[in-house]
Amino acid sequence: MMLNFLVILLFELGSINHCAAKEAPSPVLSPHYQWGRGITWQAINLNLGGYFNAAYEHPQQFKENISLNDLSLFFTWSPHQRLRFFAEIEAENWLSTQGIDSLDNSLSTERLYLDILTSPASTLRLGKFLTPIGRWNLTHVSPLIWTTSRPLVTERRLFTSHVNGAMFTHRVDFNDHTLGVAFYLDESATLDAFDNQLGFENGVGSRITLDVNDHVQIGTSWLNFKNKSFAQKSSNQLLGIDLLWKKNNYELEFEAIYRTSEDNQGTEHGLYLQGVVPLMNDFFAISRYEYVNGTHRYLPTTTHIGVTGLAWKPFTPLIIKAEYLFGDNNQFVAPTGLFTSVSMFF
Amino acid sequence: MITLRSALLLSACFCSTPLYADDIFVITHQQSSFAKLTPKLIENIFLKKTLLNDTGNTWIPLNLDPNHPIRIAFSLALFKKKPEDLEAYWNEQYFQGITPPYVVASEDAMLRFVSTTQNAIGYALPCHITDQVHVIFKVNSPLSLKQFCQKNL
Repeated sequence: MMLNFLVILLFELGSINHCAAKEAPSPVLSPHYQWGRGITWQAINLNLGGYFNAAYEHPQQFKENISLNDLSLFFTWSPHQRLRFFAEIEAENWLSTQGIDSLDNSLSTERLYLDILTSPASTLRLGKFLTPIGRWNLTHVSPLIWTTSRPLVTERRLFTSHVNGAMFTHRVDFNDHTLGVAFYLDESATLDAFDNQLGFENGVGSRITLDVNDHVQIGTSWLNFKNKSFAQKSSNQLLGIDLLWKKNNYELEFEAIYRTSEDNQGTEHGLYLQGVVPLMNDFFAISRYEYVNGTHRYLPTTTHIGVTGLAWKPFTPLIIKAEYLFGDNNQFVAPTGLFTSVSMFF
Repeated sequence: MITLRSALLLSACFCSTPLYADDIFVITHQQSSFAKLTPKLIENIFLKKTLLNDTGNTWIPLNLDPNHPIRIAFSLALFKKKPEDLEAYWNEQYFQGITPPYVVASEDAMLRFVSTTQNAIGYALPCHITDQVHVIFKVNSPLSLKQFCQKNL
């Protein structure tokens, strides 16, 4: 019934836009597919796409595992000049050599929000979206990152990766610089329809970025939050700074985070510094250093981690990665081992 | 006539153009009222960082094929990057649900689309500009494009 309604609605909207555009020799009004950019139906401003990530992981002292880590679908629709609806539905760890999970357990709504374009430079976002802390969490999807493993300071144990609430963003261009400001409110306690137990109870935060020039972006993040999973819901403070430098396919990325906590999650701080160097034939060398001090996953730790690996990007939407992770005091939080993956936007 | 006068005025404004440089005109619908667009704003429109225009409507930026010489010259002039060097940027935008500008098959298609669509914005060589479009900006191409005036690509 609901499906029928949606089909009729899409058909009607398509008809309206076709009529409006009859005079114009539109480039492509019928749906068309482009590898890595999804199916676009310009007549109704709709795009369907997604990505997958398959990984082989062999941490020392653990069983090796081959899995379809992520299979995600994106849905974007602009029903009005000022409205953009976006949804990402993900099947996480659905198939692996350690078993096949039911689709019900694997499926989750990664993101679900409505953007209201309030002005050419301002947007109000309502719904479930990625927590704007640092760069990694905002671009954590496997085809966009250089390693299969994720830095500890960007893990959801340190801060929840999603916000349920509202965010206002504004961009200011001056000279050759761009200043971006985001301010957001979380009220997961009442708004989280998916009841993520690792989520926020509530929170308030902001992120400021400055594009210094075409190659350098610096950012700061601040968040005050309470965790849903703790009986004693005390206030946590989180501060972060980040830096990205990119030029001629060379890249340097840095993030540092400090979190104080009055509950048993504990205080924690850490950083990572990652460098990317282009080699020949679309190969890239990657090295990363990580440091974490404090209570991570409820364990007091002072951990040093090194990651060294290669990535191959033979085509824009496709990336194949292999890396070796090692460290000091890392066995419980990020075990030493070999990690490889294949990721692709489709 | 107004369009031609605008083009001449713009040319006069850019009298310091080096001799080796060619021009690419940024164009909108003939009746559009966007008299003042800065290079940064044009960059933001073609990168889809700015989605709305001042009238509250959505910009419809258009591109030529990534291998088209005028697209390459436009990209180098505006972003200081070849079209393929922007693919990593468009990957990040795709993750946010934003896809690159529409691609039209030729300059002729670009001119026809812009001339009949409010809020469309594209580009073409001065020698191919018709009075059906409004020239809002001139970009100095780092590549020589004179040979492409022989025919409409």
